[in-house]
Amino acid sequence: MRVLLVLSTFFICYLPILFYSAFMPYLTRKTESFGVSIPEEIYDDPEVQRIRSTYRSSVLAFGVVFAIFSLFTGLAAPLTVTYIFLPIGTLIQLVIMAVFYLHGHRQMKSLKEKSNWLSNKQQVTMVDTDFRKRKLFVSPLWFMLYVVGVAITLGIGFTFYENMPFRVPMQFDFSGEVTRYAEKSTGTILFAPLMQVFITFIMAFSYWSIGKAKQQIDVSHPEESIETNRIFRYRWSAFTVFSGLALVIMFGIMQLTIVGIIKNTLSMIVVPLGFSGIIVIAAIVLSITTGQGGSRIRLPFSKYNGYVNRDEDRHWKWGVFYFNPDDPSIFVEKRFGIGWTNNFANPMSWVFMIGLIVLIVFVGVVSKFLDV
Amino acid sequence: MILKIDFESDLPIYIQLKTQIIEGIAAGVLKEGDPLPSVRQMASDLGINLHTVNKAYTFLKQDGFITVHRQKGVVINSIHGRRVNEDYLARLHKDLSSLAAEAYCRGMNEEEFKNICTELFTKFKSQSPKW
Repeated sequence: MRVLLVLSTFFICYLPILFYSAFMPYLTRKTESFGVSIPEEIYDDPEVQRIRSTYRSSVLAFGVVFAIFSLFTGLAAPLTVTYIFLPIGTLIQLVIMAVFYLHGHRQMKSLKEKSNWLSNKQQVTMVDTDFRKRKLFVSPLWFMLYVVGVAITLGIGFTFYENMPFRVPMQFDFSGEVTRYAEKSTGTILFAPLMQVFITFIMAFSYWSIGKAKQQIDVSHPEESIETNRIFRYRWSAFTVFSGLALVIMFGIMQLTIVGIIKNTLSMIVVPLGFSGIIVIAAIVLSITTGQGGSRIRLPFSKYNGYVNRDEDRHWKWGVFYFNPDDPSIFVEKRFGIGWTNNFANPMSWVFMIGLIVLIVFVGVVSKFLDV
Repeated sequence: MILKIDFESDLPIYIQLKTQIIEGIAAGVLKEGDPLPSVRQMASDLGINLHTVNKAYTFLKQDGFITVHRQKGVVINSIHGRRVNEDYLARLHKDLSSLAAEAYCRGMNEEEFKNICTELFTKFKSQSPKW
């Protein structure tokens, strides 16, 4: 079943990364091109359009060739090579996409320096004092379902523990053959709930940060910008809640296999692949329809008022890393990408990142301790 | 209400914040009991130092425009919090004196100057009639 492995990597990693990278300049806010801030109407400038389309074509050309190469390598090489090649290939792909991006970033930067787009415009920042009274995210009560999910999974574990086979299948190859068994113990039935609790923490944190993230209004048409940004946050909070729930359900199904109710061990492969596939597709659909910051949501549009966003380029290293000691924000919108990044000048950003690493290590250690 | 901060302006940011909030109250966009973002939230959304927002809020608080509650956060006051007092009269006199001086130097007559004032008062009255 090597074909399944290669094809799933292809469809869940390679292709999404390829298209995500190639079309990103069309998904960002129109006020940010390759991490460089521009007046919104400059987005349609012929030179800026050319930089975008050249980038897109080169990324697609490289990506397709690389994907085909990976596909054949994955299918034809000895299995051990395939196992190593697929993740490394994904990494290589990411690095090369970054190089293409940096090239675009440099081009935009020098174009901006040459042109005087900002010269006759007033740079301002706007805030809506009622922004956080708007419906920015789905109800937090959805997280109750996570708790229910963990409870049910624990319930399944303890109910069927007695009749569980002595040897529990824990690791599988891609044909569903068991490659490692664990001895039956309380630890084995605690593994899935542990992962569910971990997912709950991660998703609750993401959900919280979506509400917390800095308010960013495009000042050339503030009213639309406020509403599209609200919709953007609302949709991604829904995505966060429901993709997390999907994962909780996935581990519930896994629990059923561990206790031996689902006999077909192939489910341990197919179920995670299916769920990841659905989540990836949902993320793509959401990215295309919503755009970064809600930039692709069309609302009745009032005319540009002549204001332009305050130029903060000097705080954005390569247009990717935000470092602004004067800004108390922790989470800000990415300039090139969908979602949020950190203000790395805020110590809380580092606290959260270290916290995340500690949490991951902790979960790793505990699962070792559970002997699974 | 949408606040607009111009970073290239000669006016300090805290003054811009303060005057716009007062204008918002006069225009009836901000009403008694309406909440404002906390100092931290406002500073983060504007991407500016906490002290700057704090300064603006302190002035607004001193002048009776807002109250900072421990639980309810920052709220717009009722008109009773901000009657005309001697302090204010002195400040008004000083501010008007520089405005009138310039108008006078430019050859504007008294009537024209008063008309602008009347116009503004009429506008505010129609927008927030209860005051």
